[in-house]
Amino acid sequence: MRLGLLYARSRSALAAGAVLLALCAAAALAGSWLVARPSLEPATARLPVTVALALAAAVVLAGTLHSPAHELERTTPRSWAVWRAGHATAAALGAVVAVLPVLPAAEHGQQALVRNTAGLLGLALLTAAALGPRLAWTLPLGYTATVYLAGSPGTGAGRPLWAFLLQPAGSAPAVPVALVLLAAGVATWAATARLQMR
Amino acid sequence: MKRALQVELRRGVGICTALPLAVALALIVLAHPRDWAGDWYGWGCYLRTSLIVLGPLVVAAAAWQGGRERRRDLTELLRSASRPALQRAGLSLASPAAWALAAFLTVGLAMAAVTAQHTSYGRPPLVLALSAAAAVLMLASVGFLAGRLSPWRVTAPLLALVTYVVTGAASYSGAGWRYLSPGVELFSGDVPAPWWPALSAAGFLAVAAGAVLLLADDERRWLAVPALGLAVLAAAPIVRTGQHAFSPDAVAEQLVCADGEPPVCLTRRHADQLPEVAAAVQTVLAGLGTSGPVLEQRFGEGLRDPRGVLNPLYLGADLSGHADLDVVRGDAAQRAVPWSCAGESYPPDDRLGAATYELTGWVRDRPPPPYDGVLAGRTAAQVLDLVKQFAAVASRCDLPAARALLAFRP
Repeated sequence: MRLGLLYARSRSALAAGAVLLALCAAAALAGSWLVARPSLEPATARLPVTVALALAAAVVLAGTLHSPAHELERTTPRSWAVWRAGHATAAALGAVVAVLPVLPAAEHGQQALVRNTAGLLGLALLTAAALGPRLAWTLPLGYTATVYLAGSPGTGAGRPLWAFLLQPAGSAPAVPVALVLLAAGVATWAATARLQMR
Repeated sequence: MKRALQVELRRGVGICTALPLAVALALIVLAHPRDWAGDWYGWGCYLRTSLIVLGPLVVAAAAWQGGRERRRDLTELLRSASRPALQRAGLSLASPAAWALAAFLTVGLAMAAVTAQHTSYGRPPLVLALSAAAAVLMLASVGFLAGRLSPWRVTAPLLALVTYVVTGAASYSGAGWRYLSPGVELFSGDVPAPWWPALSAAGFLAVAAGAVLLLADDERRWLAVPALGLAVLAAAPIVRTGQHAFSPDAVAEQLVCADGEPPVCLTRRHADQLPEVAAAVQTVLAGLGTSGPVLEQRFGEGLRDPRGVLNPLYLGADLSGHADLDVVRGDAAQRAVPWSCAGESYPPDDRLGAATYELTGWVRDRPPPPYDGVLAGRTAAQVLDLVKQFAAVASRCDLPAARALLAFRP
């Protein structure tokens, strides 16, 4: 227990959790404001929130992946792959619990937000495994920024797959894409525990 | 100085971000050729629109560069050098700013090469490109300063998110300052901008970039105050006049018409596309005659039509620069059944709405029989006759007559 707390403190997990909760509160207000705009279609008004909050959650939680004493940790006789897998899984569960009450169930609401959060967190974990935890935010940010404008309706086949962030709640292909990204992210992040990462 | 600049350009964050930035920008412009490939004004406006995406990425890259000295523990070492603080900051900023500009200009030039092949009117609005380039510099400066001041690891991505929200939110505002936002197009409706609002925005953004850079200089931070004053002065013209600054380009909006039934007109900006567009509209509406209230009018684009009401046509261009004829055909077909019910262009009856959709779809594609739905059991000639009669009752919103034509039960 004590070791777990020390692990969490060394990665600023509590600060990240507090920031995530503040972002969720702001996003809930933004969602209500958007849906009250008469100029916006009620079904799609919350789409920006389902994307922006998911990205913010992934980025903030990816910030906890960095260890200030990675070299030291590697010398200890512990299975860091298990710790890393546990960390990533806990981050995913925490993110889902935090974003769940932000939006009501709707076409672009609760389910889409949870799916996007899982997918982007998985992407952040994959990036952390490839580029190091300090740069874990780069791919989720670049992907989200590009897809949000390039993935608007009518842009061709395969869109539910490559633009899963923008799909409505009922879109069947988007959910597996997000889950595969999350599973791949957790597995890759855990599997690279022995590598030197900064 | 030159050597230090070369080193920064080769070793800084910027060189790693140039390719991803260019790819992101290219994906966006390739996904929306209709918005920019048709004419020069669309090109200039889309350069600014693309900053909604490019801007946050530039801010993030610059913020990461701004935090480099702290991450690498180089602050003390660099301060001990004889180089002035402002020069050090400028050199460090040069890497993300210059490479972001290079990515932006490369994609912008590629877009211009596509647009140039297909537009017959006007010249590239370079002042719009200038204001977009100034915005890239300003965003890089803001990101750099924030990255330098904030020790938090997630400053760069969160700042990018804030930039995205702010640039997006500015487009919802009606105030004059919205035109200073990097991503807001410098136009009002379909009215193109004259040169000076873009120059005002460019001046503001460039001077603001310098002012932000001065804030990074511990010794001469006070110079940022007069610089910000200059930026406000540069912004004053566009902030004060807002959308009143925009006036239509009378020559560009002149209509050029093609003969035929019905007449089709395009603005001078798109006059080169008139033959293909006119042929598409006239083919779709062939055989419908000129007795209907809509077909007596003309089809085309443009803001004003001194000779009567103009049925609007939307001319999206694809990457080949040609009008999207599927869209044009769809627009023309919709006018073949012109509902006019209490100011609405659709009937207050779902079944009639669905029937209208089937009829306009037939007008657009003219498929051979057999048909289904409301067209079931009819020949092509009978459907053509039905469309004519249906158009007549739709134009006076005669719902019982429309139902009777389609043998709907009440």
